[in-house]
Amino acid sequence: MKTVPAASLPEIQRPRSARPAWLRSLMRNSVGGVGLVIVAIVLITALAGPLFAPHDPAKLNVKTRYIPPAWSAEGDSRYLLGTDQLGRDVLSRLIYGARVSVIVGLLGVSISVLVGVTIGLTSGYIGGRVDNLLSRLVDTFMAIPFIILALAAVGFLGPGLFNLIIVLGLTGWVTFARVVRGEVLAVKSMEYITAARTIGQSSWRIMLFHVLPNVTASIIVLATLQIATVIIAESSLSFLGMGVQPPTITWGVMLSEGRNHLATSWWLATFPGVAISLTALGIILMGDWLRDALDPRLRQG
Amino acid sequence: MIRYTLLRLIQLIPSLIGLSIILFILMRIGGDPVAHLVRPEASPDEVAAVRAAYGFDRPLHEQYLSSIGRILAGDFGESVRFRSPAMPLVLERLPATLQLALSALVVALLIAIPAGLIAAIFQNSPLDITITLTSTLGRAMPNYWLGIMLILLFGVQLRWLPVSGTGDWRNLVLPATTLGIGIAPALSRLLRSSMIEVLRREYVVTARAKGLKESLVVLRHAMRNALIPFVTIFGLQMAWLLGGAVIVEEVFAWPGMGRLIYRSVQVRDLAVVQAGVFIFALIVMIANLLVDLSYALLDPRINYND
Repeated sequence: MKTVPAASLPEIQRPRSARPAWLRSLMRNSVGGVGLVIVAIVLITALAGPLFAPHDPAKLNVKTRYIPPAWSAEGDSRYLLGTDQLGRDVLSRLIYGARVSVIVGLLGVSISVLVGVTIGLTSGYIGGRVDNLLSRLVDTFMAIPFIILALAAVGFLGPGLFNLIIVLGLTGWVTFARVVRGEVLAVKSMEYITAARTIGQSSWRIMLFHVLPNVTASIIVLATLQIATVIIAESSLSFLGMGVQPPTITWGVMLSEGRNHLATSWWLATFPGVAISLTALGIILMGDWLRDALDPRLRQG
Repeated sequence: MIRYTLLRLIQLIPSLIGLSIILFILMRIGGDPVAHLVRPEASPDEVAAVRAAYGFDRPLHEQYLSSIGRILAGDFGESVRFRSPAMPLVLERLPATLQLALSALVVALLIAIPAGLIAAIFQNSPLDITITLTSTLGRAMPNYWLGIMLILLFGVQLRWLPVSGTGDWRNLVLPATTLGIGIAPALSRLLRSSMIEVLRREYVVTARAKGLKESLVVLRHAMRNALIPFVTIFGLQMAWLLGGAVIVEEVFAWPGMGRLIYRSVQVRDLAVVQAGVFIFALIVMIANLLVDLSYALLDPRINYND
């Protein structure tokens, strides 16, 4: 190691630009930027979709049934992505469908974070028997395939948006608990925690103000990726008829209806899937970028 | 090694108890379980009789304690739909699901091992970036949709392959590919990162320095160690495969356990759903056990006698 002349140190340590770290990391990782743009488009569509949807998504019209996308020979320029078996505009339905995906993704994951972080913090911080018990619970949940548990739960509770959010939230918390517990164990023995305990702070105070801030980065990354998982799970359950029910428009329901017309109208099952895949892709790219930007320890490869 | 195996088997017990609690709760979130056992027009007396016969009139914790023995023995009672014990119905369909899951695993490995190796060897090259982006896209696609797209392409357009049911190996191609593509990205990403780490190690440098052929260094020296973390996620992947099987089986009308569970959820055939979830979880637990035990074979440094 060469020694650096002390005088030049401040020069080197000064940040080269005034741009915040996340922006610089975004510029290095252009793929993350693509993810961010896709996520922004989906969010805007979910919020303001009705303003720019070309047609009423629920309007039935016998005369406009099975029109293929605009670029094919029999296409109609008024219906960019074609129409379905009831003459409804596919593009407008896709735009309205974004709303359910966003709501289920955000609310479902919020529940998972709340449950998972609470269990992970408690388990890791208190330790001992409580930790043992909670860890076994986590192990058990890990053994049951997520989608099967969700399918059975939502099937028995009865389908619907509200039940779906609750079920996906309560079945998806395991990863959060596991990761938070691990991080808590790593942080717990550090000196500043001992210091906080020495000055007589309560366990809850230490957990919330000293331990939790250290695990937020991991939670944000996991939560982002989990939103993609939940959106795909929602569409899967809706596809199976166990999720959101018509007439509410969701991509999963559109796909399951389109599946019955595969031989004649390929576009009906294709575009909702493209919408789901692109949304999930955007979220995953954003999540991978966040992982690199927020927490170098989680970086892969 | 034998002691360790026994220890791991004993550790399964709390997980099984946890599983029985989850199943117990699952069966009761749908409301009164008796409602599914009696005819809709049954009189209150009949309902009360059924309730007493099944023990549903006792306090919840007593009900649980009396059910745990049966649950752990795999006795979930009769299927309402088939009028026969639930467990044999599930086990009958187990081979079809395992056949699908294992074929999918083979497909996934055939994709993931070359992809992960190439990406690691040519790290940060355009080839690596292409592989990484493709695998991210693979993670983002819902696998039932991928299945439908494959049906559209190979079944409807090209008419190369049958799109539903069972028969010969050709029926297995599309469902196994669909399910396999679903887990290939996770496997190839993991192999890439562990391979990159191993290729930096000193013994690899030594192997190269003494003039070994690059193919020998990569395949014989590096890959063996890179595969260890690969095995650790096998249990998780098993859970994923079985979960994915439910939907893929439904899309391709594959007569396995997943489809049975789905159909049973639809008609609220509680016994079959319980038995199915139980078997699925048991398979994942056994897979995890095998993973732990196989470390010894892959990495002789791990000592089980401590």
